[in-house]
Amino acid sequence: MLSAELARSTTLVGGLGFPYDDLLAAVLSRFGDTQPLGALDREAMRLGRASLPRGQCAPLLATAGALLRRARGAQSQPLAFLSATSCGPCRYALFASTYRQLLREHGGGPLWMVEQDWPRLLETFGDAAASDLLDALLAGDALLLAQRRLRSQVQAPEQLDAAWTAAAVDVAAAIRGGLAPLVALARHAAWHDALALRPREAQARMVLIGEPWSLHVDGDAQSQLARVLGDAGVEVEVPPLALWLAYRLWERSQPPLRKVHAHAPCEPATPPLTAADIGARYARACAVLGMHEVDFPDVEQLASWAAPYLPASWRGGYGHVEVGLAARARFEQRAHAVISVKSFGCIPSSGVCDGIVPRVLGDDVAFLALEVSEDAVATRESRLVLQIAAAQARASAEAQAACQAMGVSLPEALAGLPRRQALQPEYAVGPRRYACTLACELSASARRLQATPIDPETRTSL
Amino acid sequence: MLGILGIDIGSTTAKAVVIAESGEVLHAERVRHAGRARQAAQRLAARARERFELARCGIAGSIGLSLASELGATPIHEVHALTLAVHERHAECKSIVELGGQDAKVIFLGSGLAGDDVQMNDRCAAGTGATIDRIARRIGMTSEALALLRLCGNLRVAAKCGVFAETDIVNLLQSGASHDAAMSALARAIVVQNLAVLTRGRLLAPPLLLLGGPHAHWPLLVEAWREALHALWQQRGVASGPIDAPRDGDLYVALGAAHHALVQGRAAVSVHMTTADAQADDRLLSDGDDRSLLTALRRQDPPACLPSGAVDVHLGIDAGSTSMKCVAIDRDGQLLASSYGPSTGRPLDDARARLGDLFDQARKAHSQLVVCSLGVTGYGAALLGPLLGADIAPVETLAHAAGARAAFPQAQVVVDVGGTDIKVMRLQGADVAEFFVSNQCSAGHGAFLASSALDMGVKPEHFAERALAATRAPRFSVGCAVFMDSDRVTFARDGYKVDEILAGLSWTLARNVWEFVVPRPPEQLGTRFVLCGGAQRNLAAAFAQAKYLHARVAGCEVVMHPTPELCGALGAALLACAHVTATRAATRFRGLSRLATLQLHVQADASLRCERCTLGCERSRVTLDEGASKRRSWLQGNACERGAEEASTAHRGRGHAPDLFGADATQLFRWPTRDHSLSLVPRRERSWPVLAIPRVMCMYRAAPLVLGYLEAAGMPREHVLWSPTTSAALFQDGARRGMNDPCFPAKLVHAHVDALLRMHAQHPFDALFLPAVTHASVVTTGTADCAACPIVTACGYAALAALGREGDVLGARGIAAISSELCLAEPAQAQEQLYAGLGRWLGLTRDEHQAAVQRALAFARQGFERRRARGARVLADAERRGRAVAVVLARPYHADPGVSHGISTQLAAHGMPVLGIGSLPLGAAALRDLSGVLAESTNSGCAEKVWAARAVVAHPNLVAVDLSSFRCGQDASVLGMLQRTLGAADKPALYVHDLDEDRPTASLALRVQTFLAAVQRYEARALRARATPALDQASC
Repeated sequence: MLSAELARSTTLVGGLGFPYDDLLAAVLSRFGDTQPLGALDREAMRLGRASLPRGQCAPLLATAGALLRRARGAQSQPLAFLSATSCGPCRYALFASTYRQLLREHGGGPLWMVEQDWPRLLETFGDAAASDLLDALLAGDALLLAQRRLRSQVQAPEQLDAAWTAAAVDVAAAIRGGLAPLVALARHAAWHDALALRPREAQARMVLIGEPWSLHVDGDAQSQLARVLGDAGVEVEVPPLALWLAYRLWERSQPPLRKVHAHAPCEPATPPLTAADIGARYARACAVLGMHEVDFPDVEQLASWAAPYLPASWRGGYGHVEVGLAARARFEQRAHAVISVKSFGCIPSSGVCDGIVPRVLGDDVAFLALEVSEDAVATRESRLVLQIAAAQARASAEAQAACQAMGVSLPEALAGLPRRQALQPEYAVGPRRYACTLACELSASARRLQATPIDPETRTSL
Repeated sequence: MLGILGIDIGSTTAKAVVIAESGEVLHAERVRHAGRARQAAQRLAARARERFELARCGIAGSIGLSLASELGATPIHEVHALTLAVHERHAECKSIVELGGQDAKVIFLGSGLAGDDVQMNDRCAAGTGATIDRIARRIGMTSEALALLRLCGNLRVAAKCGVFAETDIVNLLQSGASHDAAMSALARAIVVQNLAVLTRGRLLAPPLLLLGGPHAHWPLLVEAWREALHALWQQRGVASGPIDAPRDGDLYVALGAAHHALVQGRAAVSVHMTTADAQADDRLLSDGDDRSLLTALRRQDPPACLPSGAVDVHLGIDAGSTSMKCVAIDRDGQLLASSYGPSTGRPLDDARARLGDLFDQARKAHSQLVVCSLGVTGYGAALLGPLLGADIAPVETLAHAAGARAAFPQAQVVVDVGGTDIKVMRLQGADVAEFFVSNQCSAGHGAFLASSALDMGVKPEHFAERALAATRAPRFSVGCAVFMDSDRVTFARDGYKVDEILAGLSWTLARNVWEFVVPRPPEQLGTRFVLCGGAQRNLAAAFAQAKYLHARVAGCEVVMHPTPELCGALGAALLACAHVTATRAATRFRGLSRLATLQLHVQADASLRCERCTLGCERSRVTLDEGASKRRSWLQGNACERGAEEASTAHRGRGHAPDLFGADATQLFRWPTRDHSLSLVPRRERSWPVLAIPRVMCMYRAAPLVLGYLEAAGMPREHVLWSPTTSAALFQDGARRGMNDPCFPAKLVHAHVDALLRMHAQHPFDALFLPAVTHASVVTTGTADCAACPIVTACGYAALAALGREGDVLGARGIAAISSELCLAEPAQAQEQLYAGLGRWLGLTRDEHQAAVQRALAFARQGFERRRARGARVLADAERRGRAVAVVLARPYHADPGVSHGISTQLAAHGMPVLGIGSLPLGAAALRDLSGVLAESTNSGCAEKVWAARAVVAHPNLVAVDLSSFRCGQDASVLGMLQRTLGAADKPALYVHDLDEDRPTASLALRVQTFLAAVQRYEARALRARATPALDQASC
């Protein structure tokens, strides 16, 4: 039934942007004419805003706008729409009914919508396709991780953008050509080899938290935040998109808070995957690109960290993960600053970023809640510059402190470190004394530098 | 002489300081750059270069950083520059508050991770300096006059948003408040807003510096800070200290930039986030079709045609917020003469001036005007109507509709853009079938366009010419004028020329009207549009609207009213003419000569604030001296009839209809009376603890259960302490402690907790109960869940978390926090949760607890049944009398009059019965089964609102009033569905969205009056002559 429907439809895959939509569409191309929905750009946002009642969240407006743009240009072929949004586990916006209503009012042709809920989607397409869909999603995560790791290191960010975009397009084309996603990814693993790196320096580290959409739809959705920070020399850590899937699976494994209504759609009995599976497969996808030391957040641990502030049993959407990630940044000393990226109208994020996250971070990590929208850019930039400056000062102090503890000067230490290689982890994995990657590297290389080793369990206090 | 130059280019002003190597200030200069920041910076640098040999240059400011390389200057962030200057000059300083044109900063020196903890405003709360400028301009005050004002009075305005504040100030002045008192209210509100948003609960410690232009040039604001901080320090037990506001406080950033250059500091990081793009398509005029459209829109003033001799005329006055318009028409509706002038804040003087002008024109034309009727409309109509002797005072929406139809009988949609409000009316014949009014977040657009032009050095009359000449236009955000002002700074920084920015601003009006004010696509309203209102005289903005509509609505026709600014006055005159013709009554117009002798005294101060409910209406006393010992006095500004008489103690007048929705604010929190007492738990001789509960959010669902439980457990009534219902005073006091800002009701949680903590001194309590209600018990079926909004659920946790920033505030007072989960949808689960939360704390045994819960559930259930039974009686009575009943579609906590601004009371005061969702008779089960329309929804409130909308559609006597709070994402998700559902019924509906701490009195009155007028027509048309079916017989 599904195959037959897909074969006579044009299936649009959308809601996550590039490269996710392209990679997922490539996997589904085996069922028929499948295309990415297109950029969730400002034009899509404007179209969505002009067509829907105001006050809705940015993910819904942008996706609806992009869908409308395609629907208006549709031919007689029925349109199917496969979307990963709702935005992660967000259960507040009425995504499906809104898309249905919108296409009914504005669409050029009949509409056929694919189930939106990801775990169910994976079940729907059968094991092989589901497995490939998951790998395609993880390939997108790996590609973005690589791009973000490199951004603060490369000499020419525009060359990075060109090489990265070409690689992602090539991977999608290879999948359409019949290759499995990770095989396709492996074929293009050397995409960054020609990029020149900058010399080592103490760089600020920031962790971005927020709803999956605002973190992963690269570009307009988050005002290019990860790029802007990377270009300013900040190492940026963004949790993988697959974390949303892992959290969703974990949430399902928890006892329900209450009996659902008789009319409620039934949850599938057994999820095909567990959160741990997602983590393992994420590591495999990253390894394909040469990133062997990645640490996928432990969902159980995140929930446990968040519990005193926002119990997961409340089903507050990704807000729980946001709080957990903030706690992780603090307790694992992962960052000099945490930025909560709020897409306009996001209920779960708004509920936690003003009171709860600052409380979780305490005075250990600087915090900035940044609502991203089209307006007030100058003010937003000003706040960001301030945060970067404070984080950079802290990174420099950490590098100096590491050298002092090891009894070497910074130039001596830098000279003694091994040659910098692209896509190496930005910092030593495990209990950290410093958030600063350079300080961590210096600390980890104490023996090589013939300096005094530092006890990694003793946290620094600057 | 050798010098170091520091430049600060902010959003409105450019400042330059030259210092010697010793740090001594050699030269200082400030200029308004009027949108030409680059040129201003170059001029300042050139002038400094003429006088000094400049060794180095530092630059800062929101626009300054982008000019660094061009000027060869070292960039430094303005906050760093500021702290550098402060360290140089005031080493002992601990806190800084700096207000600029567009942004505000609070700096806790030496207390952050990297030395200082800096807080800058996000988008809301932006634009303090620009707002003060705009308000001063609007009320005709020079900066010199502003500097002479002193803090006085005790009036209140809202300053969460500059647009709201502007409206409030204008209203206060029009109500008779003095400039000192009104601007004092603004200064105090700005202080509270900055404390709430920027300090977020952290205490600003002395010594404290107030820096930036507003502090340097407006002593009133400094006085307001001193007043607030000294009170706050006293409240928190902190020793007072100095609060200084240096006269050159606006130069500190430039000074710091110079010091930065002096010490050859490191250049600030440069970041450039995506800004709105310029697209060729966005230019206003792009092809021949556009020019034809523009030509068609150019208004053609009809020639004045006052005949000589005696002329019967009907007068119309439109007393708007920014201007007053007056027309004379003949009985055929032909415009004979008109007069237009700005509002000065003295409505009677303005009216006399306009009428005098009209009669002067008549004299010059050898005409003798014989006034047959007078109609008055606009914000000033309530005051002017009785003063002038108006025969009729139609609400503005009806007046504009009448004026537009007279010019274009086929008009389907009227778009009226005034100085403050935007109103869009869908016409059905002569009736206004549907109307939309800008809320606070989209208000002030007309005045904003004119004000922005002036800020950029362009006279409003040249706006259109320059905007239409631009070859590109940046894309502004839409809605909030303050945000647009911020965008203007961004675009100026990014190099857009003034003409291009004006072109971009022109587009904003079209998008604001059709993407913000009107929540439905324009094609659903009609195809024939009439543009009217004073702001439409800006041809560029009007053209953008026409172009927008042509792109959206196939086959549409957009016409400009021949005299757009006079449309409301024309409508008032036409309606007055129709009125006296129909009633054959003689006009009550006093006549110009008698008007000249009238003396009007308006007193507006805090002593007249109505105290009969928590709304606290700011009233004024109007005294009219008609000579010959004839003197009349009355109160105005009261939202309902309770405040009409100063001495009255009546809680309601005779015409007041039942307001079951508003009654929830007290009924739900009523302690079970002895008759209702269901206590089974023996009252043991024990010392009961005292429990304090904030009266907010989920407590409007949980209160009956909690109270029933406590009563059944044997707890004495006086051991439960509730915070009061929300009032402006409660909010403002709480705001000083800092706020979370996800939505308005969430912000109130802090204020209520703060109120309880302040009550603790007089009424000590042992615990604060902040349950996390996860699910509500609802009567709807067929949705995915009945969960509470996560913000509602977590609001207690969020408040406690925020409180934690001040240390262990509760522990220090010996107060425990009880914040257990509460699933109201599952009684068994609720029982366990209540035990974990309250039962154990009260020391109840399991059996006692279980018995108490069962009795509490029964008590709550009986209460809900009683409310619905009362609702059924109200509805049955309305059916019998052929009257409409308003159903308020809202969240339960909107029953708090401080959250809904007493809208239900206003309706009931006009004789309209009001039900809430909790008192709506259940009716047919099919209506409550939402599986076909809302299956994926998980939110309880959304389901209830959709059910109530369906019930309204199904029953002819019910009409809907949809309320929603600012930033309510849950409501946004069903807004479209509600409007489609309610729109399908041919009956009036009132939408009041974006409710916030600000109470837009005039705008609310406009909506309520328009709605009531529509309801009256509906009752006459659909209810009086027919029997009504019972609700449970209505089909789905």
